Parts: sequence; C-alpha cells; structure tokens
Amino acid sequence: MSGSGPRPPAPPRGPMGHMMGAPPVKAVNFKESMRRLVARLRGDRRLVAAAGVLGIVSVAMSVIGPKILGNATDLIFTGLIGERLPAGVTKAQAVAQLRATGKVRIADMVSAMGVVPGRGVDFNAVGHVLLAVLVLYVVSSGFSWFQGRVTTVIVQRTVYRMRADVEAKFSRMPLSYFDSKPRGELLSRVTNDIDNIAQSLQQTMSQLLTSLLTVIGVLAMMVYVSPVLAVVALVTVPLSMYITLTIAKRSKPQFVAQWSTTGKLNGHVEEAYTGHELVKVFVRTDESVAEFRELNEQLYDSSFKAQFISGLIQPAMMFVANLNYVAIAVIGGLRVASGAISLGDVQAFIQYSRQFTQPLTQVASMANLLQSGVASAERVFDVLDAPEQSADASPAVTPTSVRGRIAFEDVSFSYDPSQPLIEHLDLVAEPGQTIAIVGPTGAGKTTLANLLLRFYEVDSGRITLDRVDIRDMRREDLRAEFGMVLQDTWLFGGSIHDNIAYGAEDATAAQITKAAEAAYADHFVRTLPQGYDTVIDDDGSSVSAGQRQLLTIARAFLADPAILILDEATSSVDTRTEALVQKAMAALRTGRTSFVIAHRLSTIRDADRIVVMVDGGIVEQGTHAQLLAAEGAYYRLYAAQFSGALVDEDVETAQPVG
Amino acid sequence: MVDEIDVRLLDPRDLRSSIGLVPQRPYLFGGTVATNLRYGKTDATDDELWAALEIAQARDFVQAMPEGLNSVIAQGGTNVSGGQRQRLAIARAVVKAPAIYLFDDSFSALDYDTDARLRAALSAVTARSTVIIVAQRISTIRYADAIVVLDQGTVVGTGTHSTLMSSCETYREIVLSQLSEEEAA
Repeated sequence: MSGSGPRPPAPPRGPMGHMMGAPPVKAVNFKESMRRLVARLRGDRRLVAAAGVLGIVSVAMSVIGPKILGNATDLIFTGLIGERLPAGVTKAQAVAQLRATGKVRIADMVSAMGVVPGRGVDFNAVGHVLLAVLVLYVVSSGFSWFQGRVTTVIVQRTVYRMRADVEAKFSRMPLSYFDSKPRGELLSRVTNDIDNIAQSLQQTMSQLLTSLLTVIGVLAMMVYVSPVLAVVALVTVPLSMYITLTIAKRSKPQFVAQWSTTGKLNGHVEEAYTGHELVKVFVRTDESVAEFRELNEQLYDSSFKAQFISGLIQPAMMFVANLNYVAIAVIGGLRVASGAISLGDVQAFIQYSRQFTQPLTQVASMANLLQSGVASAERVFDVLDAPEQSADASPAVTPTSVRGRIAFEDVSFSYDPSQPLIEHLDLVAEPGQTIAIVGPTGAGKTTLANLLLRFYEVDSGRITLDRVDIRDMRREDLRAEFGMVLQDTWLFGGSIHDNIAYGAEDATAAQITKAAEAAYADHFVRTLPQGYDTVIDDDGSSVSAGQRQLLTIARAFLADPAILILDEATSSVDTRTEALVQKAMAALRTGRTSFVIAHRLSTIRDADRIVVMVDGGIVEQGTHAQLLAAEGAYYRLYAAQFSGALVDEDVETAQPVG
Repeated sequence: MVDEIDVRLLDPRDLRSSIGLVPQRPYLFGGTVATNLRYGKTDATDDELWAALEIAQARDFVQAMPEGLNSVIAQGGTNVSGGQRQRLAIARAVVKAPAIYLFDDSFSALDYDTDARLRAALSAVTARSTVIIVAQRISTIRYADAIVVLDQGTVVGTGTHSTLMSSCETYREIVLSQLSEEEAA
C-alpha cells in the first residue's frame, strides 16, 4: 500500500551494513540464553543421557588404548632382552652378573622389567594384546558413531520444535511487530539463525563432550603413567597458548581491516554496477575506478598481512609440539634406562601427549561456535518472547450472510500514544457503498485498512460489521469477509490457476475461468502458451505488472467477499492494461462495500463517500460535490491534480513516508 | 543532435556532462545526503544544495533528519522512502545544473500534489535548459512544448497536448484512461 503508517526508525546502518565474513555476533546474555537453549533439549532427556553415556564409554575406551598398546611394546622389549640373557639363571642372578660386568644402567633397567632370562618374545601374548586393542578401538569408534547419530536426532528434533514454535508464534503476533522490523531480519531469524543453531549444536554436542572428556582422560592417563613426564608435557601448554595469543593479537587488526575493506569493496562494486548509468552520466568513471583501485590495494595489503601473520601460528605450534616431543623422548628414554618406567609406558605417553593438544584446540574453536550458536538462539528467543495479539473473543460471534455494513463509531487510534492519529472518527459504509480514501503520500490511508482487518486494535470507540463489534468476532472469521487487491500484487510461484484459486482451493476450473473473465484476465491468460497452467515465477517476469493486478482481482472475484479493500495506485502499468484494471475493479466493487485507496478521479468522483486524510488524520469526508463546495483540503488536492500550474501555498505539506 | 551536432560525434564525456539524468529507479550511493547531491558537482556549496532540495520538494524532510545534509544514506538509498529517493535524485540533477534535463519517469512515486509543486518549482530553474520527461501521467506532461507519443517502439505522434488530442488516437486513448473528457479538453 502507498503509506504504511509511521514506523519506528530502522536501526542506523552505514554503507557497510552487510559485511561479508564479519566476526560472529555475541549473545547479549550468554548465560541465560545458554540455559534456555539447554532447557530446550530437555524434551529428549533420555536421548541426551544416552548420547552422554555413549560418549563417555567411547572416550574411555579410546583413552585406554595407548596404555594397553604400550603393554605390547613391553612384551616385545622384555622378550628381546630376555633372549640375550643366558638361559637357566634367575633374573636376580642375571642382574647381579650385569652389575659385576659394570653394566649398571642395563642392570637397573632389567631389574625393573619382568624379564625371564633366556625366554624370547611371547608372540602369543603380544597377539592377544594387539587383538584387545583392536577390539577396543573398533568398539570405541562404534560407540562414537552411534553417539553422533543420537546427537543428530536430538539436534534435528530440537530445531524442528523451534521452527514450529516460531511459525506458530508468527501467526499469533500482531502486525505491528512485523511492521516494526525489517522483513529480511525476521526471515533471517527463522532460516539462518535456526540453521546456525542446528549446526553449532550438532558440532558442539558431539565434539565438545568428546573433546572435554578426551582432555580429562588423557590428562589422567598421563599423570597415572608418569607424573614427571606429565609435568614436562604440560609445561608447553601455556607456552603454545602464549604464542598463539600473541600472534592472534597481531593478526586481529589485520583481519578486521580485511573484513571492513572487503565490505567497502563489495559495496563499491555493487554501487558501480547498480548505479552504472549515473556514474556515466555524472562523468564519475575516473573517480570510481580510482576508488576501486585504492580499496583493492588496501584489501590486498590487509589480506596479505592477515594471512601471513596468522599463517605463523601453525608452524609455531608445530615447533613447540616437536620440542615437547623431543623433551619427552629424551627424558622418557633416560627414565627407561634407569628402570623408572617401562618402554611401553613412554610410547603410550608420547601418544597421549600428541592426543592432548588436538582436543584442546578443538574445545577452543568450539567456544567460538557455541558463542555464535547461542547468539542465534537468543535472537530466536527474542521472537518467541515478543508480545502476542490479544486472544479472540470467546464465545465469538460468527457472522452469517454478511451484508457488509461497516461503521466506525467514535474511533480513536494511534500507533504511538504521543502522536494522536485518528480521533473520534465516525464513518458509515452502507452495504454496497464505495468509500474513497484520498490524501497525499504517507497520510496513513493504510491505517483504516489495518483497523478494519484488526491488524491493529482501536484505542477507543468501536468498529462494527453489520452492527456487531468486530472485536467480538474471531479474526479469522472477520478477515474471511474481506477481499483485498493491493498495489503490490502478491502472486506466488505456481500456476495461474493456483494463484487465482488461492483462498478457495476447491474451486473448479469453470469457476476460475469465470472469475478471470469477470476480471478481464481471461483474454490474456488464453494468449499464453500454457493458458491457466502457465507457471508464474516469484519475480513474475512472465506476466506484466498490470496483468498481475488483473489476476489478483480475479482472485477476489472467486473469493466473493462482502467487503473489499482496494489500493488503486498504479505505476508502470501500460495504459491499455490500466483501462482493463480500472474496469475490472469497478466490476468487482459492484454490490460490495468497498474501501478504495483511490488515485483515480473517476473512482473518487463516483464514490458514495470520500474520506480525505492528511498527516494520518481524517480532515474531511463527504461526497465529491459537497467537498468541492466546502473548498477545503479536498478542493486543493483536486485543484493540484488538475492543473499542473495551480499551486496553493497553504496546501498541506505531504508527509514523507517513514 | 545536440546544438546541431550529431551526438555520435561528441565526446561521450562532454555529452554526458551536459545532461542531468533522473533515472526511472532512482539510485542513491552510500554516503551522506551531501555526497549524493554533490555527485554531479563536487564543489557545490551548502547553499546550492539547499536550493536544489527546495526545488525538489525535499528540503523539509532533509531538514527533519537529525544530521541534515550530513545524514547517512545507505547504499542504494534504502534508508529513505521511494518518494524521498526520487526527490533526492531530482535534487542531485538540479545541483549539476545541466543544459539538458532527462527525467525518466521520475515523478511516479510522488503524489499529485507534490508532483505539481515540484514541477512548478522546476520550471523556474529549467527555463534555460532543455527538459525531456518520460512519463505515464498525463498531468506531468500536458504543458510540455512538445509531446512525443511512443507505442511499441515507434513514434506515433508529436505535438502539443491539444494538437495530439485531435490528431493522435493513441494519445487520446492514454489521456482518456486517466482523465475524463472535460478534464482533458
């Protein structure tokens, strides 16, 4: 519609409103939103518990793996040593012999081992150990896979419920909510945010748990195997954290610069394309190219630095990890030689130390993901918490055979209490009458329609339909009595047949053809190769703007409502289709009570009553002749429209659409 | 032909710098009101800008913006309404003060009242310029010196409103779809 009433100002958005790859948004109230998100999992409590247990078992088994594998190494090593010792002596004798020959170190080592002199590698025992480890790993993977499946089910069910909740919520919310929010943002909450929640939950739930458990398990095993080596291994953790943080701190401003220049560059390119003819006509090509060059240069510079600096993290971490590896190997080797620890344990330990850092970095990256998931959840909760429209009256009056008498009785209404809009309005539309609403852009002509359809509720007074207060009816029943044909024709992707039948799905082909004939649409539809089966794409490129209007009029004919709300504004409709639209609308109005947001003088003049709105309020009403005689706002509007030259200084200034 | 010179012989830059275009879909660049208005004349003073806004019937709403001329315009002008965008685009062309104005269906988002006042104000500054208006509304063009009627890409009539009313059937059809017989006379 032409003027959709005052709206709260949209949040300021600079030229870089949509930056690509911007850092994830943080939740305002992380704790609370996290709690609510977790609470939403409660519906699948048993599955969550199952996933937890599966995760614990899987991790425990995989963590024990290296330790058992170490036993195999020990068995082989013991066997190798035992083989070299003369058979037939006891271990104590063999050790004493070694000491006597001055091989003190080897003696120490052997004394700590379960060596049987003369006996070689017990391959049978080694085989058993390896088999055990294999089974352990296979079972662990199986559990982990199963846990993943369970998690997927939990997450998908949770977001399924969330989507359903949002959808249900949308239908309970008043129109004012949608008016006050940019459409794209709301859409994004239902789609992108919920997707984001699903994704981050999926990853965090399966990985965060396993990663945390792995860190704890590995740490426990390291301390259990060798407290000394554990200390050595842990020393490097703060070191690598320090290195990562230092490098990240340096690269962050470069990343920020990269994001913002990417945003600027995208904006510039987009502008240069969309505003192409302006750039040419205003002879700004050189400036435009120069600006592009400069931005491109900046982007190159910041991207290069950002990538270069952040690229240092990986090698630096590798370096620290390798240092750690060397330290553990050397110290571990010494301790094996001194008999303080078995070779298998050192091997297990090295494995642990390698396993330790990976889940640690995973947990760190999970934290980011969780942040963004919770931020998304918060935005969805925002929607779910929004105030709802008042419940329908109960018991409700169900209108039967509506005649279409509409009366505004002492109605006052405003979107914003500090700005009174409609005050003490009395207006009666007898069945079949046409009420023309006229006024400059932004005069709030749409407000009346909003009130009639109960998208907004009156502040005082009442609106009646056939002498029944519309608040005593169910919104659904009320709206079913209304037909709307708006300036922004709304057709959906589907056949012309389906589009006309929207709202009356059980209509027969004959009924649809009849409606199309009444709306003067039948002729052009028949000229289309597929006729009524022609598919209209979302952007409606297959039919012209005027033809789209004819189709929406046909839709209204089919629905056959008692009351109509029409918005006549026509722009970019060719004059001949325009004539058809005009005829079709006139035909549609016959016998129905009609509220027309009128732009054509013929409609206005023939209307039973003209309502003149200025600045949201009704300043005059009456018939064409009466209003002309009054020489008021209508007279001036009328004069302005007819002679391009006549400009009256005190004509009300048109209010800009907000 | 511009001033008797074939446009194809002119340097496109020279030709374009003499044209002030207001396109069908008015496009504003990301920046401020002022940067947009100065697009065709970088050294225009604030007074010149306000004067242009006055003509384009845009002064009031720009004044009402918290930052006035320095108010931020989002890319594409998406933070102002369609009618405001159109008026700012007109003001931008006026600031450039070109020899030729080209309004490509530039008044469609304005209500009749604003449209009428805007044209009245424009006629003063465009008196010495050539004005080409592409329009669908008859009231916008009925006082033009010459009206060219196009149908399916061919010229079907040229002349003033009154000569076309009697000589051109297509024009009559268009007029009568918008005005009644006596109004059109």
